[in-house]
Amino acid sequence: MNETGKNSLRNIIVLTAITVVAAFALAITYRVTEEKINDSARLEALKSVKAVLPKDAKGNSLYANEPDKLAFEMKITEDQKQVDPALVFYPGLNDKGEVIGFAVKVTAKIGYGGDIQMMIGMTPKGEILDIQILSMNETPGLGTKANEPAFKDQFKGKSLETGAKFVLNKDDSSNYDLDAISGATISSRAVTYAVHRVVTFYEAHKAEIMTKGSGNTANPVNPALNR
Amino acid sequence: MQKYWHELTKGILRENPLFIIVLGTCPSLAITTKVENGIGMGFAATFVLVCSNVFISLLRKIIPKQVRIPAFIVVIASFVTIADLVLHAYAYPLWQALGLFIPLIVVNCIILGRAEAFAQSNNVFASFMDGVGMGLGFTLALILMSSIREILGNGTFLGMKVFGEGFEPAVMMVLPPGGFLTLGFLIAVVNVINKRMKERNT
Amino acid sequence: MGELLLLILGAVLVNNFVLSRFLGICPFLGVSKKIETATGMGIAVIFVMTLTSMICWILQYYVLEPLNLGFLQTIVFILVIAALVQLVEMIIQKIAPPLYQALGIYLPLITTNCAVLGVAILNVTKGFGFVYAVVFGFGSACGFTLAIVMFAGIRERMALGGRIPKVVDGVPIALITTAILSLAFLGFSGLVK
Repeated sequence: MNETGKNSLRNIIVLTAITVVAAFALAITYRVTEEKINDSARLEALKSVKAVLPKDAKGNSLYANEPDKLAFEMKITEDQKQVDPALVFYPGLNDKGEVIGFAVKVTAKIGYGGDIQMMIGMTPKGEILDIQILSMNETPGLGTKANEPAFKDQFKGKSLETGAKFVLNKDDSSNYDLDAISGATISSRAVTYAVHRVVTFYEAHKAEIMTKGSGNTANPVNPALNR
Repeated sequence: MQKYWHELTKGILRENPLFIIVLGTCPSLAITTKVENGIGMGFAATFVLVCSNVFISLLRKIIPKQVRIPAFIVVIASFVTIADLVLHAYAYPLWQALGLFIPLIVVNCIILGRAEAFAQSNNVFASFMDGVGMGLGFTLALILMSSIREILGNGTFLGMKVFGEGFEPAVMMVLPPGGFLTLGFLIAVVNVINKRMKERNT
Repeated sequence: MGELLLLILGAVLVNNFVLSRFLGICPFLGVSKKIETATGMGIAVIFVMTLTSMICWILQYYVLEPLNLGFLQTIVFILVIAALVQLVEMIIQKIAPPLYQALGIYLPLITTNCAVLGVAILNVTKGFGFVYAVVFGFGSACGFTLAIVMFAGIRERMALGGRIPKVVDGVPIALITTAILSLAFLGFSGLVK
């Protein structure tokens, strides 16, 4: 083999050797971290579920199960564009197996920057406990205020039973029960519509949801480790 | 020993990779909206820089000149992937915050630049010091940038409120224009400081 | 068809790779001193980014994921990019030697252009199908080209007439100008849902 041939061969051998060693090192690292990685996604998802389910006066969670193991999905059948039709319900049960609340994952599609993924906590009566925004692309300092107590806390305690209308001041200045964020009407609307959708859906399908929630139907969904 | 100390300290001011050599601008602008992101990215990049400098220096006699760039890239990309996996497993919130810019460390010109300019022609210990120094300089630069942006743009430092209730943050600072502005001003300031220091030394 | 056009519009104006996503800053600052060089660089980047989107998408979904080798994504992608850039270099050297000279060191540096690796990874994170991925790659590269050519125009003008204080001359004034450009582009947000 001439000089350039030998050179090329040496180049290829060295490069391949380095790549193979690298691939091995990475495979080992991946094996070591794989479990932790899957766990952290699950724990992160559970954190928001925990945050919105019922708590006692000291802030400790009242549920005794693992909500994501009993999670199930239901679909909004009416044709509508504001909210992704798939709703994921995470039931919180006490130690007697009774449902004490649901965390509902819903994605609003009409945010200013696109999808807003939310976790809504509600009691079996349909009363809102809390809201967590999981992910959003809203304008920082404006739309992102939707995740601040000043806006979110307005929803606490509201329910269709007690006559809440879920109407923003921007939508009906004479008959409203929620204040929009100034300068972020679109973001406020997206969140409000999503909450309203969820409570109306719950009201319409309460019996079925309660049954599934107490684990009487085998319809578990593996909450995808999505972003 | 004097020489090694020199390699360590040059990365901090004299040859600061971000402010003087102007490398690694993409992550600097993107993630410096919070000081904790700046610290996290700085450490991740330093880890990759030090490891790749050391390994490339170890292998410098074996890697043929012709294929050195792809070889460097494989080494650097491996350490970036390790950093990515470790962060994903043990520091999930930080991993989410840094997002796309963790794998982008592989094209952070600082790392490839040091491999090409230093590690392939110097011994392991000097390369190690060079990596630590440059990484430290980069991290300090990131912390400086994110401090300015977080304090002015969010009113907080490391998440703690700095000003009282009356402060309305200049949101633009945490948006793209604020990033460009901050970096531009900081580079100008550092250039002036460097010039004055040089004049004083001659 | 309309959705694809919206995708391009979004990538060029609303989430411009340079002015909004901070990808591709180094070549943006380095090659934007003259309009012709900037345009040449832009075209080379369009070529590389579109091809990269295609090849990396195929590799991700037909090789890496089926074999559970997702963790090798960074290495595989960057090696593909390095190879593609070599290819583009050879092509430009053959068909447009003056451009090859003008671009100089910045041509191989397309490999380290965050925009190229960035778009390959974004295509996967966003879960795009093949057509969307390629269109996104193409659109983002157009956005990069738009930004870099616009900026070159501004810089040429500044070099001719502006009385720039020595303190900020060079990189600082370039960045401050970019800040203003980025601020202007912020006005496009909300254009595409």
